[in-house]
Amino acid sequence: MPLNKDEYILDVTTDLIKNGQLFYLIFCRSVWYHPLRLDSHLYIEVIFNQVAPDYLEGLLLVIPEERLPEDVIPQIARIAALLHRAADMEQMPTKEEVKYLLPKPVLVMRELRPPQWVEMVQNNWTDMSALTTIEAKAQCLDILQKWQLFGSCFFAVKRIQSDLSTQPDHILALNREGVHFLDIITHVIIVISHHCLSSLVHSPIASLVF
Amino acid sequence: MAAYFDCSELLRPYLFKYLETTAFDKRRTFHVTAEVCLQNLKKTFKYGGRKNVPSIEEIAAISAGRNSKRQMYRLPGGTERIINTSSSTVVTDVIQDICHMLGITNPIEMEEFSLYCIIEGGLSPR
Repeated sequence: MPLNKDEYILDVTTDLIKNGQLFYLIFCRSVWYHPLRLDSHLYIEVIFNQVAPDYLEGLLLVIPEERLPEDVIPQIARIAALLHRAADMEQMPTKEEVKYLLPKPVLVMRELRPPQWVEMVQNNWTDMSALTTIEAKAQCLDILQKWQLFGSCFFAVKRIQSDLSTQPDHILALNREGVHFLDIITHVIIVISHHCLSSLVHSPIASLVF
Repeated sequence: MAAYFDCSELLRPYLFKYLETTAFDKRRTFHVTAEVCLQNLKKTFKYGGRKNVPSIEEIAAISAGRNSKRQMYRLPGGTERIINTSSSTVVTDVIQDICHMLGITNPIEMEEFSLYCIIEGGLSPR
């Protein structure tokens, strides 16, 4: 849960220090309504570092009927090359390295075999030497910000009382379009609610009632 | 004191007048202290008094003339930024400072960012 905006910092830390607890104060983006600004290096770093793990986990991917949409494939290959460059690598990614540059669900999908992915990623590499690490990160974000689930906060949902789905587990995605319940594998939207987003972010998830 | 406790409605205008007079007159001995008091008091009126009694470290620091602590804040990816955090610094202030570092000046855009407190081995407080 985010700290209350009116909270005194030293009130928070005094308690924890008194109890001998180790803690971190972490800054991050929680609402993604404003468009990205790719003009500040630190901004790009912060946003990239927040988005990249979700991307690699596969959360941003929507794969209807468990099939990778055709237009997404070249984007994933390009992002893989950009991620490699963003990590300050100067050599083309190897077969082994490409595995870590693709979103997890992609590795087991039938659309492309691993050698095909490696070839596509390596083909994208030729453009990379001209980029700095920051430029690579910015380009990554530039591609991803057009994806439907970009800018979502994701939560695991264990149970929904609804007639719409027989599966117990879902993913809850909160973003600028509202509240979405996603199928856990395909990330296709099952239920959508155009709730007021800012009030939701600041209320405990447990109190959301549908 | 001004950072911790609010005062009664009756006292408030007199307290303010006293602090403002001292703060704005550079010839007065305690004008700097009065300025700090005034700022802290305004914060207290806006956000309420401090919830917790200050720690020994905080009192020692203030007595030694150090009004703020060099507090570390983590950014996604692991890098850290040190921001001077005083008795009256609230979460909004820190978010504002970091947003300025990111090139964000629009207060509405700043509302999209948050501060979280992660405790080793447990969930965040409150």
